[in-house]
Amino acid sequence: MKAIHVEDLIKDYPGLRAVDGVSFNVERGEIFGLLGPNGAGKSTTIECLEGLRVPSDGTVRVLGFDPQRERYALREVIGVQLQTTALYERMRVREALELFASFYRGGSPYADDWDELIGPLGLGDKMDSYYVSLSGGQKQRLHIALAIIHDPEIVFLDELTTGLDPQARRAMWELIERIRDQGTTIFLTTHYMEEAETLCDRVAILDHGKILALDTPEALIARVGGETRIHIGLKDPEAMAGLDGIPDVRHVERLDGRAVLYSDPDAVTSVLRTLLRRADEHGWRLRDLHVERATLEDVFLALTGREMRE
Amino acid sequence: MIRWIRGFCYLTWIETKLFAREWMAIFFTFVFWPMMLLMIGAIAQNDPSLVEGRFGLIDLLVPAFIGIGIMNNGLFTIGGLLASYRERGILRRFEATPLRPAIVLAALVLVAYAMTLVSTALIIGISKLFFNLRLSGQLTELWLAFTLGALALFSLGFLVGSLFQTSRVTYAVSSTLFFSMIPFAIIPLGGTLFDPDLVPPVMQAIAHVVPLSYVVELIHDVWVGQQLTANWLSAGILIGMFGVFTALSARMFRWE
Repeated sequence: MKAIHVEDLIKDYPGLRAVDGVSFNVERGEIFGLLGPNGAGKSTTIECLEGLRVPSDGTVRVLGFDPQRERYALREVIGVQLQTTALYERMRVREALELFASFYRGGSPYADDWDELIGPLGLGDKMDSYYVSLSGGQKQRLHIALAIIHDPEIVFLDELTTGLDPQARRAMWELIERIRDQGTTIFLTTHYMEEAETLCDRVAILDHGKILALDTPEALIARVGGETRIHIGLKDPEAMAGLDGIPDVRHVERLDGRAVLYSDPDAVTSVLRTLLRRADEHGWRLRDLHVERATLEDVFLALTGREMRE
Repeated sequence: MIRWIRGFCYLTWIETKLFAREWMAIFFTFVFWPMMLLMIGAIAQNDPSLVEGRFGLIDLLVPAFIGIGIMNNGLFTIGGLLASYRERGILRRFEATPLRPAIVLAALVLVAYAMTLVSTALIIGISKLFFNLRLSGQLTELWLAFTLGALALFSLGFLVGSLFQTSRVTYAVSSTLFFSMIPFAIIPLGGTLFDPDLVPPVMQAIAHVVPLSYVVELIHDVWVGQQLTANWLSAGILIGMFGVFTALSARMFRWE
């Protein structure tokens, strides 16, 4: 049995088709990401899987359950983090944990030692703090704790790291990987390319309610012929001219003392070796040299003809 | 069934603690109305010569205060909290767990009911202590009348909390209802405290649709020694209001 099976999912709102015939499967134990710009239909899709929205058409099965007809059975075995979420302001962290544990048939495996759950989340010393006194990141991490409190089989995370600074975001990614390593399937939505690329085993790119492509991040990048860019900073004009004719370089771009060599990802090593040998022979002074591989951003651009960032 | 009880018990316990941590709720439930009663009593005394040597002013005001106390928690605790929980997305977060929606409401109603019961006991206790309160009716009958009043006014709060999008609007409507209903707490005292013929026909007509006047009337009648069954019409109207308000709010209610 697949962890999640979605077939021809459609969700209509008055005057808007938010999700337009989406189909995919999620395997057990993988981190699956739904990537797309704001308004692409990510939240609507994830909420149909969680049973919080009623699909207009199509089939959804989560762990074999119909999220509408078997919603309470399903909610025993999934954990949910909503995009915007809140709790009682004057509830302490400990009370929140105990309250949510009481909602599940089996309670929480962490009930004897909450520190085992919230210690790794960096909330160990916040047990007696009011929810309202937590920082944005701490609230976010508490909501993760509440999503995994009953040791669910699938965790749904909607825009997990929105509003977090880069450092907190990386810490969050490590945390998600740790949860997956315990055998939990993760389904997440994001509009951060880097997040999808770093964290997800497979990514579905969603735009205007349709899946444009679905594969591992590497395969997606390879599929659009993603070229690696080698950025070079050079002062002397004659050196600029000497960049021509390096084997495996498909294309050279020059602008104001900078040049970009486009190459096949597999050929980067040989291109760099040739480049450095020429620099050495002719005494070029390289002021900058860095390699930038193609990202999902390039994939989105290739698929839609526009950038994803607003 | 059994496994819902744990969630229900814990949620009720949390709601009780949250109530205790909210000074506005504590003040208006346990401080404000007892304080009003103390001040009115200190000024006007509770002289039994007011009504045929049987009841004084405080004796007659206490039923009205009990009714107002129920209305306070119906509109502001049930209606106000439901609206603010919904607006902040708390109800939606609960919806993503196996918790049944009705459990959330039941816990809220139970806490509001218990708090109102305590504040009623406080009002009666203070009046007994300072003003030699005279109660002719039976306590069980009084409790029944109180509970009927709670059914009607709590379901009114549920309705108000279900109708509006934002908690600001809900609060405005609740406050308007609350303060405009307070004068009608006095109307059932016509005949004992003042000449009912002095009440303009318009006000009398309005009193017929104001839930609070039936609540106070029922509590007042039991208070002065009548059987609850003697005023079956008021009791029936309150049960009817409970049915209508609950049915309407069940239709209108949204978890997000």
